[in-house]
Amino acid sequence: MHPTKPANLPLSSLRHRNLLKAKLSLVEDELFRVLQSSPSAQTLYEASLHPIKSGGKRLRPLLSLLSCEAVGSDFKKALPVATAIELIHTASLIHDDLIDDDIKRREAPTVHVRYDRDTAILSGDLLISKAMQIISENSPVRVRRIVSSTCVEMSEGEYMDMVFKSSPEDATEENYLKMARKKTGVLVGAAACGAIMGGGSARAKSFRIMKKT
Amino acid sequence: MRPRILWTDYLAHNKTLGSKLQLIDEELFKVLMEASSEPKILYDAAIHPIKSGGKRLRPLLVLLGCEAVTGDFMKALSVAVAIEIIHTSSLIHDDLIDQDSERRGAPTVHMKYDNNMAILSGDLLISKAMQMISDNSSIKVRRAIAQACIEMCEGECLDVSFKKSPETVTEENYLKMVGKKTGALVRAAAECGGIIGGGTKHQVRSLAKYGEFLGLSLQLRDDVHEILTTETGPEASLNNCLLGQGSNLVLIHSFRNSDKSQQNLLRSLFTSNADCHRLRDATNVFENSMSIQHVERLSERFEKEAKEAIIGMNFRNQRILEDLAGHVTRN
Repeated sequence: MHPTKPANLPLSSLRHRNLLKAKLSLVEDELFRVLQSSPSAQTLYEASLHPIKSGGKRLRPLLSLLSCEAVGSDFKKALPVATAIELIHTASLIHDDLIDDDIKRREAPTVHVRYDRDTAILSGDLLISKAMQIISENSPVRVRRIVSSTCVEMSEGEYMDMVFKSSPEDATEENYLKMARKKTGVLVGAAACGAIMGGGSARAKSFRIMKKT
Repeated sequence: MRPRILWTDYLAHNKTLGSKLQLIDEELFKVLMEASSEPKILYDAAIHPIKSGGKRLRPLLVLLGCEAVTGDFMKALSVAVAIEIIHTSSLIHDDLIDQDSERRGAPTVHMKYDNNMAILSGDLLISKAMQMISDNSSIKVRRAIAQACIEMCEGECLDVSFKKSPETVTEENYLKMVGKKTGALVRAAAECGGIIGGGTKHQVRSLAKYGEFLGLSLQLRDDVHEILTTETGPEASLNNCLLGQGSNLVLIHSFRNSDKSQQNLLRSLFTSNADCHRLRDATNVFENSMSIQHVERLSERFEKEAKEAIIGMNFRNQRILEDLAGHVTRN
């Protein structure tokens, strides 16, 4: 479901690749800034950063920044929402790994293995709360709506996935795709928030639908 | 211990609070029914602890905070419900972490369903609450609620670490933890009520303080209650609290104010199931160190500070808020 190697971005020019890298390094800075250790709950912040430090494609934040640029705006406007989306993605990975009892993610031990189950539950909750804090601050209601309903659908999708895993013979292709849309598709599609931050409207919407299908 | 009226009896005799609570429950169930979707069982699990009851203290404080500054409280109803949903989400995850098997007289979510369902239904509820406050609340309300959610995670994490080594915990650190785990959301509740009602900066700040002290006072009362139920009921409660269902200030205080042999006794109780005889010994240790009295006094001090925080603010329901501060109990 989540390849551990960085995706080969289909970009021929080295210059473009460097531009993407520069964008992502800003996301990286934001992630580390938001999860700066709090002296009162050090382990919790370390555990929350652990999967982020181990790498990952950063596909979702990158799409948010690019979709902001696509509508002719400065991608920096989408930086907070891109960060929030990556935090939510990380939270879901931590909880999903715990539920599926996966022991490795991005070549490193998963949070519940490296720390423990309790820390995995709480660090996922912390990441969702941090994301909520970011989108609370400076995004318009449309963005807040998309991000929060995405979180709802992801919980639903993960539950469906759990059921399918325990009884794959009951799953139909239709239901499987429905699950995949909820579990993975909607958050990738939430990159459309980048376009909203950039001031796009109808085009942003079509982007979202495109990502869902 | 000062005799206390049970929360349920208090409400039964208090019509203004009773009608607000009814309103909260109606709205809460309406929102959850409307929100309910597929997979049905996931929504059932999320609603289960809400159906089993609960004080509804936090949503009540949102309404009272709003009423304090405007006289009207209806416009705070949706945030009140969102805050109760956040509270429920934290209960589901905390019960799983603490391995509690019962809550509000019913099995906890991970017992009735399973661990995974508890994780996901908690996630679902916090997302639902986020959706509710995304729609029509002001930035100040959203900020206060998000901050409280972060602090609750930090507080629960501290609580878990305290349980592992109660002898290293100081009273100061314990109170800091309670301020985050319990105080933060109670504080945000009263504060958001004031913000929604359009209160002045001073009024909002005083409501926030009121909520924070109320949360501290409530938690300490719970700590004493946990220890004292052993006198009347089964020893299981004390055993549970010693064995790690949440840290407890009575225990922490007693540990710091006892001699070596008493400390050894308490330490042995942290680590293994104890028989009734040894539990009675523990009660004697608490008595020697006057720990129950100490925690009770502290709880009363916070109650007093909560009441003092709202003096001179021209709150329309000051008496109700004062009265409430003296009556919040676990049951």
